[in-house]
Amino acid sequence: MSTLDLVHAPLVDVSALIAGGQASSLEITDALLARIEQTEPTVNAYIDVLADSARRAARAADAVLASGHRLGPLHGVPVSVKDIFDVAGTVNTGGGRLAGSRTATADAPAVARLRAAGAVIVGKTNLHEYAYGYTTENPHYGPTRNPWDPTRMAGGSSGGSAAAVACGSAILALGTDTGGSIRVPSSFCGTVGIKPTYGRVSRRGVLPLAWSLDHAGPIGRTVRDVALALEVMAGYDPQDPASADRAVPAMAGEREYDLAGVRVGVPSNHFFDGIQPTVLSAVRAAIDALSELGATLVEVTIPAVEHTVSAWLAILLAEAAAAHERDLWARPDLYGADVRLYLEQGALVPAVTYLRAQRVRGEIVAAFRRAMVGVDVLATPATAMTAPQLGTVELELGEESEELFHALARISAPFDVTGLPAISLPCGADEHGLPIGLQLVGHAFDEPMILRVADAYEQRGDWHGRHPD
Amino acid sequence: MSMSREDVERAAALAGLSLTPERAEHVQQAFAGLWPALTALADIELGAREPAITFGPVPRGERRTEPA
Repeated sequence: MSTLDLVHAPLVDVSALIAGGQASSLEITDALLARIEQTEPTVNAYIDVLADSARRAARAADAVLASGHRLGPLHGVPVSVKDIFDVAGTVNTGGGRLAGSRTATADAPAVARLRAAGAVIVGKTNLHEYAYGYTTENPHYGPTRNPWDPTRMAGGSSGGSAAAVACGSAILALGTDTGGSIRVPSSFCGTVGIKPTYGRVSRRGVLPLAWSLDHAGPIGRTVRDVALALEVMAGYDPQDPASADRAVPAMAGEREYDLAGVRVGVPSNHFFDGIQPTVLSAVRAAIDALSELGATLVEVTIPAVEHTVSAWLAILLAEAAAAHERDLWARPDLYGADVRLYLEQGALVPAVTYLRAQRVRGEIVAAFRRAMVGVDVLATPATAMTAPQLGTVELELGEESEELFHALARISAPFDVTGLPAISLPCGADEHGLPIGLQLVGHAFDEPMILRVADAYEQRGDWHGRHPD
Repeated sequence: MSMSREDVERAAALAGLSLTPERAEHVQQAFAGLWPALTALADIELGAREPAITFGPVPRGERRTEPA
């Protein structure tokens, strides 16, 4: 396998190569570090590349394997981490300037679980400042550029993670998702990103944006890659108040391709309105493909979903302002212009409005619960459009101009508000060759079902394994 | 109707945030764009539903740490 093939290989293949002795962890880590050096001037996916510690860890992984031990399914595999998770010995910048030179003394549990399974942490990826935005046009560390077209945005807030996976400068990367921040960049960059059920993965050691909306999850090259990573990352953490004390089901491995007996709900309202035509046709074709694989398509209507953005926005604004209260009050000049303005507006949201939004949230959850009776997954576009040009604030998808944040939130935020698990995976390309994402949504804690459906679709091979030159 | 610049200054001060008049004007203009979305929440019929703050997506009587 050539060096280029190696850096674009799925995680499960890299893991097998190391386990089988066909490649060492150090060889793969070196290949990845060389790829980072090659791609960073254009893509800018990383805030901190941990070359020395990654090489030390890779050598140690090779030595352990030579002695006959394998730590776990990620033994020796390089993994990158969004720079909002604590990684021991590094500064958790959150994409901002508040942290100064203060280093984390311990790994966040999600990172620690990956390391315990043998992963080598290779670097910390760029993000929208404090995960508060969809573009990863970071004022302090520069914009992450989309590897498919560097004039376009990678999406956000986990833009560095998705761009790195897409261009071969990461094999797998961690992200967070408060309004779509794993799925939006995955859709724009042609990667697979899963936002698990709220409470499935610990957020301890992750800088908060909005406590009742924050999720953590993996971004990878294939469905099986993110399934393996999620199985490793997931688990109860009594020190995260939102963590769910639930057994983690088997998620990794190969599955049956046949979807006979699986019922796919296709929303008749909201999710297919105001969508770029090429995205709409690609997603419709992907849903037809699910039917060809044996799934039964069922039309569903979700009555309260149109209120989601208002409720999400009120909750996000208020909780983010509370999370940043001390720093915003004391050091507002350290924030970038857009995030500072969001936070200041959050301080103005009346308590009554916040509480009303939480009550509306209850209505939305109940509406999804009713709509999903009798279906196993919902299928929707992952984003309303392919990656816009950097600097885009508004765009026209229907007859009227719409703010970019609203066009993204209306598709992805419903599943942060409800906490339901959702995955984005490639299902097409537009006329410019830019990736299109399909979103599959499951019942709470039923990640295995969305992974099964996603894997079956991916294994058809229509859009699997593409990467930018 | 949205907040005036003076309303913004007062509300920010109540929250402990000191804004210059120029900054308050900037925030007021941005907040005016969000106001319709926030006030739209008041038009939604809610019945007696309890706020879902503690992780919201949890039906009454079930564990408070699990979502929908």
